[in-house]
Amino acid sequence: MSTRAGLAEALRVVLAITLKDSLDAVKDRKLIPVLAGVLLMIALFRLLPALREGDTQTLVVVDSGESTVVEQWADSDQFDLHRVPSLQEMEVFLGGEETAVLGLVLPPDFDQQVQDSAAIALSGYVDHWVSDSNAEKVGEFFEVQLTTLTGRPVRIQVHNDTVFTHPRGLQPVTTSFLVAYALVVVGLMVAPNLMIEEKELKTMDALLISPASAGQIVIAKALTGLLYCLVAGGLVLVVNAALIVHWDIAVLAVLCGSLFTVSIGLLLGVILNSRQQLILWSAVLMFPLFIPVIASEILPDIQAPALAQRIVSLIPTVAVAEAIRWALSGSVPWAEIGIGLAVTIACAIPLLVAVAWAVRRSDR
Amino acid sequence: MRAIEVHELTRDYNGLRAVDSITFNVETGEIFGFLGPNGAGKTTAIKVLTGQLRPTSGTARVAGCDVVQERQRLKPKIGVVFEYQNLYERLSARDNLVFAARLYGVSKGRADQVLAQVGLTERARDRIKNYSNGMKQRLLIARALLHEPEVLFLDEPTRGLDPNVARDIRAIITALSRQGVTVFLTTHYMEEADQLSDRVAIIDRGRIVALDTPAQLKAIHGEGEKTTLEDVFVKLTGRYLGRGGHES
Repeated sequence: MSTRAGLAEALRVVLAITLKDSLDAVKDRKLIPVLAGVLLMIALFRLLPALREGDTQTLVVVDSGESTVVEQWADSDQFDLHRVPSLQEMEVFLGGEETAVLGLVLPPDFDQQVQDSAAIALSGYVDHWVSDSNAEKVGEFFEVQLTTLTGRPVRIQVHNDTVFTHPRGLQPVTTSFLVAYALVVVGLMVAPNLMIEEKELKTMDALLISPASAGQIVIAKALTGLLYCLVAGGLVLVVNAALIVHWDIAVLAVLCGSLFTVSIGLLLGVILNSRQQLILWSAVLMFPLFIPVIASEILPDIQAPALAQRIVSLIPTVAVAEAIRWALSGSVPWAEIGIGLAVTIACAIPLLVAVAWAVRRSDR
Repeated sequence: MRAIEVHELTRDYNGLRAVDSITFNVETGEIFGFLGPNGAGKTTAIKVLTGQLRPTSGTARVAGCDVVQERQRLKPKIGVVFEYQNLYERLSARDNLVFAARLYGVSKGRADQVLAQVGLTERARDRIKNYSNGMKQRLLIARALLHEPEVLFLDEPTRGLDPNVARDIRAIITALSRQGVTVFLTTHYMEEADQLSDRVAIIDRGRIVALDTPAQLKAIHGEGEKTTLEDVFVKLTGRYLGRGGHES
């Protein structure tokens, strides 16, 4: 058989198993409760900012001239005022908020302008994910407030395309948690069934006497598992689409993370013999996979040693969460993200080889 | 031409000799009965002949392929009905067959053809979990026939089925043999083996203790005209198989 014919046959076998497993998953509806769980988590995280909508609006001001006019704004009961020394500080502040916050950059001679000018024109900034209509609404609110406070007409030109979310801001962190959660849950709780069910139903025996090789079976199962994970991870990305700046990084991170969690899931599937065992072991494995993601957020705050932080950042689920955070931000440390995702794939490959070896061993 | 050639085949399993130096040949188109008490080594022998297990020693060729060296070439040439009903329960009968058709690279039309052959066309779109044991068994035979194998291995194909379904399945087996398919059949039902098999091998504790046509076996080992294959079986293995085919 020529190489091309051999490849075509291998592809046919892999696709046949993937299609069967996908059809089976649709009929089983096993993914539905898992996706419902992910959606519930998204809803909870989305609800938090909504609950704060009644709160007072916030204004962040870069006031290098230490304006006395601005000092008076602090007395307003219509909004909270934060004064920061630089544009960079303002960006950090805005990026850390989960609601639309307006940032104003005042000229050093702002007090003078208030005295001399008939009308005042200012540049305002909101995060990139704030919609045009919402940006306009926030701008109009502060135009009214500042016009009242300064006694001069104030016009604010709001920009929503220059300030990007800070990777440690609430939105990137919650989104990265959600992606990691979705991939870990689907990888550990759904993907193993692709193997366990074949063993429980003894259909693996029929597969192994068919033209399918152990390697092709594992590739097909991994593809199906990837499909499941991509549905769950994709759901998180789509719901948070407005936040994402770098779709390429986000998709790559979900792909790499999916490959890793599915590999662990398939390994569990070949080791375990029943779904009851799976419930126990997937719950146990959730901790070492998901807790480092939370720990990676805390370690910088408690000033943990740099080496510890570096080691944690190379744990595949942490590397994926980190990449997602950066996908929601402006500038991207490509090398750092690349190393993390490369380590994730490097961890997945030996796991898949181990799965193929175990299937082959059970065969002979 | 020989469909199966087995020479001095041995397979050890968990420290026990499950198959002990067996030698036999099966001609193309023949129905070959492989009989033995529970644990005699029937299923292990089938697993070796279908490439699922490696032999400890000896050689076996099926459909012209060495079961160890040419396993991948062997796969499309054999069909197997396992001793258990291993089907995808959530899928319909047709979906099960379409999946197998994709694996073997045969057309979906062939799936409909074999469904008709085993009389399941009307229930083709029902989920397997709603099937009776008899219907599942027919579907297993359909799946094994889908890619038109040269050699068909049937491991207890009528076990636990009601007499009508068992009769239908025996009719399918006979028809296949007439079409030139070689059938390697294990069964606990001596009457069935007698009725279907061109030749029978009786295996006990891993070794073949007799191999001949049912008529010859009865003539050689029997004690009169009314001797049954079961009498021969009991005499050679020292064990009795009851009416339901269960050992006692």
